[in-house]
Amino acid sequence: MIRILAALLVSLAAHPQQLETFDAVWKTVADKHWNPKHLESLPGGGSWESLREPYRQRVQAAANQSEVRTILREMISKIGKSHYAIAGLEMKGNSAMRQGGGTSPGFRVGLVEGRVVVTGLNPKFTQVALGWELKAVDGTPILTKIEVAETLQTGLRLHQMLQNQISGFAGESLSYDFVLPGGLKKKVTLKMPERDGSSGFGFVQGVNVQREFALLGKNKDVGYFRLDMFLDVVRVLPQFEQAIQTCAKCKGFIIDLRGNPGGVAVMANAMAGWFVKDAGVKLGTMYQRGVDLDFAVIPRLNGFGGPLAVLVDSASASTSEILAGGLQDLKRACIFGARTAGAALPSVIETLPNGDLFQFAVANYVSESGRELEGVGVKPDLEVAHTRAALRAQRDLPIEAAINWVYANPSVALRR
Amino acid sequence: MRTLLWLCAVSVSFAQNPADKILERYLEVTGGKAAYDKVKSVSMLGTMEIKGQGVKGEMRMYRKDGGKYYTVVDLPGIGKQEDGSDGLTVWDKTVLGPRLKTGVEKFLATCAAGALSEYGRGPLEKDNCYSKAELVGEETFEGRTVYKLRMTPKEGKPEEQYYDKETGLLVKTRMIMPSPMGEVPIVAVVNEYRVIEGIKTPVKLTNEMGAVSMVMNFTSVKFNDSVPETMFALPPEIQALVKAGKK
Repeated sequence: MIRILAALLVSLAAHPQQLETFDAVWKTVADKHWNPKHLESLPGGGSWESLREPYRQRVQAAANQSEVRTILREMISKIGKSHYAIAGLEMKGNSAMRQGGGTSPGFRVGLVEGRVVVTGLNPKFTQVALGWELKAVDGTPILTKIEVAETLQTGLRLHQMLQNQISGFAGESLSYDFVLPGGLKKKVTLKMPERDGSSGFGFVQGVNVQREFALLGKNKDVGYFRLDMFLDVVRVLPQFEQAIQTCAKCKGFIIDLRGNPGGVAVMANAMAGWFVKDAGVKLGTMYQRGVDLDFAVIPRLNGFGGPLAVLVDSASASTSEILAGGLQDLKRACIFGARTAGAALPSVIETLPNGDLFQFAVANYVSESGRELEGVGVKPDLEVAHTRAALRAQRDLPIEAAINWVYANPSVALRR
Repeated sequence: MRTLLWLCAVSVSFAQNPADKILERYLEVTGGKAAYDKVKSVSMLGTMEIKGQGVKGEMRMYRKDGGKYYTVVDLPGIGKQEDGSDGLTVWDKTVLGPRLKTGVEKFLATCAAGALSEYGRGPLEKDNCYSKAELVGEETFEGRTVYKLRMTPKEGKPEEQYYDKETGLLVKTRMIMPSPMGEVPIVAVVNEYRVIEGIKTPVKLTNEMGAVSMVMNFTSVKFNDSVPETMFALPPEIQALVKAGKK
């Protein structure tokens, strides 16, 4: 779910509070991981119990809070699952990578054919065009190497790393060095948008939630709704409803979840409700310790019955995967793009005794057909990726594929 | 004649279910049946907090004779989650969308509304809601001895209620709540009672559902306050569902 505002912390010496923090993390996992058997035999060997004393001793000997954080991160990484994280404010002075402020400049970038290029633009954003290659932000070269093993979640991490490098603080001006098609170099100075009033949830605050509705296709008869995070529930869901109502006579509808890392999980159910007609439908099941919850979908009156396409990529995670995978299982949507991140565990975030934030998974998610998406992701029905040539021609191939599919499937889609 | 009366009394005493005695004692220690009989409506204002997650919002509950109720929780970042009944139609309107409650869910929601609180059906609607009450035994809860009762609703799954042996107060309920997301096990703990207009009323409660713990804290509770009928009117989305005959 997550972009996190960290608590106020700087290099405090390790003291009993840190041990209390260690105990809180260790016990939370022991008590709340949905599958105790997983903790008895961790992927890298050993059990969660066996980690307790060695890591507790390391925390006791830690010089400062930053070191404690590093030790705890190492410990929770042994669980081998997504949605375990410790967050706090840290200085990364020795890193060559630019650390942005989290506010998007109005465009998105991706790694296409080995180059960092503009892959998406916010509506009415005209200072930059698709396909431009980005070389540096405020004089700092864009980095694309990530120090993680090659996993499905590499795409998610790379996406987040790239968007972070191009982001700034609200109101801040940044310069961007581009190479245009044909080799022309261009420097563009952009002022970061102010906060747009998007509401977060719990400790996830301070983000602008990008959402966009448009009518696409040759006759402007295909609805398109893009959401870059499942937050700002109070405004996004009514906007989505409005999009559905506007699109009552559309030939089809596209939900674009590319780069969407998730958020408030029940938004997936709420959005799916506009595309099903029968009661008793669900997107899957969330298995917690002692509690199994269905991702139930409540059919809405005056929903949309036409063809539905969902766009995903390797940075579509969590709630995005629940929505895409669930609709795919229900045979209600055709999925386009690239395999998703495989980071699909429902999680919560709590404050630790030392003020850091601890995100931990509380459940396993299994889709309606019995698929565990964690570590696997959602495989698109049609794999389609950006190409530099297409982007330079201002074409978004996954969107085009979805539109073409809609036009080729004019009949009313299967609805359950 | 006196002997016959005495025998009858003994007979009744022996025949009385020990669980019933515990439930009757709850009524007594919290104010007595007469005090409850005077209550025709309830307004409860306070907060709901998702413990440890930085989420806290306003909560309001209204109850009125005739099975009418309306509850709204306004959580920052999520918005209003509403739940209500006009005495006939039982509904909710959450992030998932508007919905009519039917079957067991409708029955239990109506029972809870009659019990004046959100911690479960409690003993107040015993005859209307439950077909059986049994004393299972004694346990220790938070260092105190409690009676454990198994209460079987006329519809739905049995629940366990725990009454403090010394004070007679309900301290915990374990129940299975039907919902669109399936059957949800809930442990509801009463953290605090306060005497309001002669009735010892639960004003702070913690509901645990799996990994999530929610704390409800009512700072204002009023009995027989003027609650307008419009409070229980069906929202337009619910009216549309009723009209469409949709569940």
